[in-house]
Amino acid sequence: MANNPYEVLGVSPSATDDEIKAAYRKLAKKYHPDNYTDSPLADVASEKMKEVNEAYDTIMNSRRGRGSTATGGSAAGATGSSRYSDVRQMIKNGRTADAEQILDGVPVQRREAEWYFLKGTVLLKKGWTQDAYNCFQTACNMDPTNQEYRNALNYAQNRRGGYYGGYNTNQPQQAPGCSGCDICTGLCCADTCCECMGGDLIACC
Amino acid sequence: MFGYVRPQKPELLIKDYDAYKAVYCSLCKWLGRRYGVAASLILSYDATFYAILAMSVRGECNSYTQGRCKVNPMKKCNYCCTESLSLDDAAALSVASFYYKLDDDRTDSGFFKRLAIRLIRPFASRWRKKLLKYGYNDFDKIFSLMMKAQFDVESDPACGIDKAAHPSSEALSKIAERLASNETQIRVLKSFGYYLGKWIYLIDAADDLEDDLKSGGFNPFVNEYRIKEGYDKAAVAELMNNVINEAAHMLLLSYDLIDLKGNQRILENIVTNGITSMQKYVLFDKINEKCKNKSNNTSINK
Repeated sequence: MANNPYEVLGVSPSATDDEIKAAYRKLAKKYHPDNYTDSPLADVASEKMKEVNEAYDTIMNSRRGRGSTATGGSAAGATGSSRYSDVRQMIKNGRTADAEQILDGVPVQRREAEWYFLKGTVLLKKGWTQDAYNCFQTACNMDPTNQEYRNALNYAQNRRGGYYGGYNTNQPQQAPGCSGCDICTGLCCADTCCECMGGDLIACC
Repeated sequence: MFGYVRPQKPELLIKDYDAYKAVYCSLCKWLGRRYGVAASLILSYDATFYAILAMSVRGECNSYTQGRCKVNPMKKCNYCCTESLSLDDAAALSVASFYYKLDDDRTDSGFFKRLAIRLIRPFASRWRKKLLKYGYNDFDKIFSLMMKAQFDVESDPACGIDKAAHPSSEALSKIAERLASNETQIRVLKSFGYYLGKWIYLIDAADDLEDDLKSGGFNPFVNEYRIKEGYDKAAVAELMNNVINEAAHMLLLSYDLIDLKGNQRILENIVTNGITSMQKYVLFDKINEKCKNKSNNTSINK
């Protein structure tokens, strides 16, 4: 969207996080799909809703990014939890090609669960869903307790299950039996047969 | 482009089916007019889908007129607007994809097929010349690059599914992208085209699996999962379905974000029901059908 996210929310760029949250909640209530269930303007509303959500996310993401770099100096030394904070930042900023280059530079024997998780994330952004799935699997096998990797694998498995898009083989087939259509057709047939024999089942036809 | 992207007719409203047919017939007529009568024969469901998508994205053609069918003059058909950029694009897509598909088939098929290709090729070349004359150099380039890239990836013995599908996906992503009118829509359509291309490539590969196994031809599923003759058909079908579902899921998510101005129900039918039923048919029903035929034959022989 070319629109300025602050303009969409109707706040000034100097507004505090709380002010932005308040503005977002107000607009979200206004455009909520429940308000428009029977209105012909429902599509317009959902479009607006999308715009508002996007604006909110953009602002919050950019602020969060700023926050973490500001505190990054102390946090990185203190926790040291992620060797790949730079790669994560690149992925967040959409620089997937750079992130992939750095990841590929890591020698094979030093690739641990997080490497596979991040590589999978990069591959997924590129549209290489199959290789991404394999990476997530490897990550989960190497570190079965990590929830982040588990979530990524679960999402991939849901996609592969065909619950939204594609063919879901576990979906129950249409129940065999007597539908409304079958009843009507049955009655019509019975009527025709009766008429052939001189009788009548349905008087009007 | 192999005719996998089509609507599921029973789930369409009749008026939408009529609209679909009108575009189909218009594209047929348009191919005939721009490239010669014989070109009507390369009319495909995929190109029709592209025409409808293009019309919807650009907001073209919302009215229909009646006319006579060229191929069968006894039949009356509905046609959509006679002059349309989208129809022209879809016709160009048909010609370019047909020409390069033929070019590709020439190298890897049996004697009789090669002979047939040799007979058809002069037509295809003539159409392609017209294509270039009409200024569709970009289409021609997209497909020639795709074929070259495809050849390159297939020569890699370790080539997996994603790498193998990439050239086709890229080609369709470029073809879809050119319909967009703003930055956001470029991103959305690019992604939609990418996954649609991937879906088409994979469903075609799944369809060809048995033939490829017999002939030793390249097949991404065989490469990725090391499938050998005498494989467990049900398990492999399930596996391929999982892989293809992922492309279908992603293309549907992208589809939801395209700004459409008309014919949404048809398009939605195609990207949801149409794709679902095609996967079901190619991966599960077709095999059963073949088995049934086989058992029938054997019982007759007895």
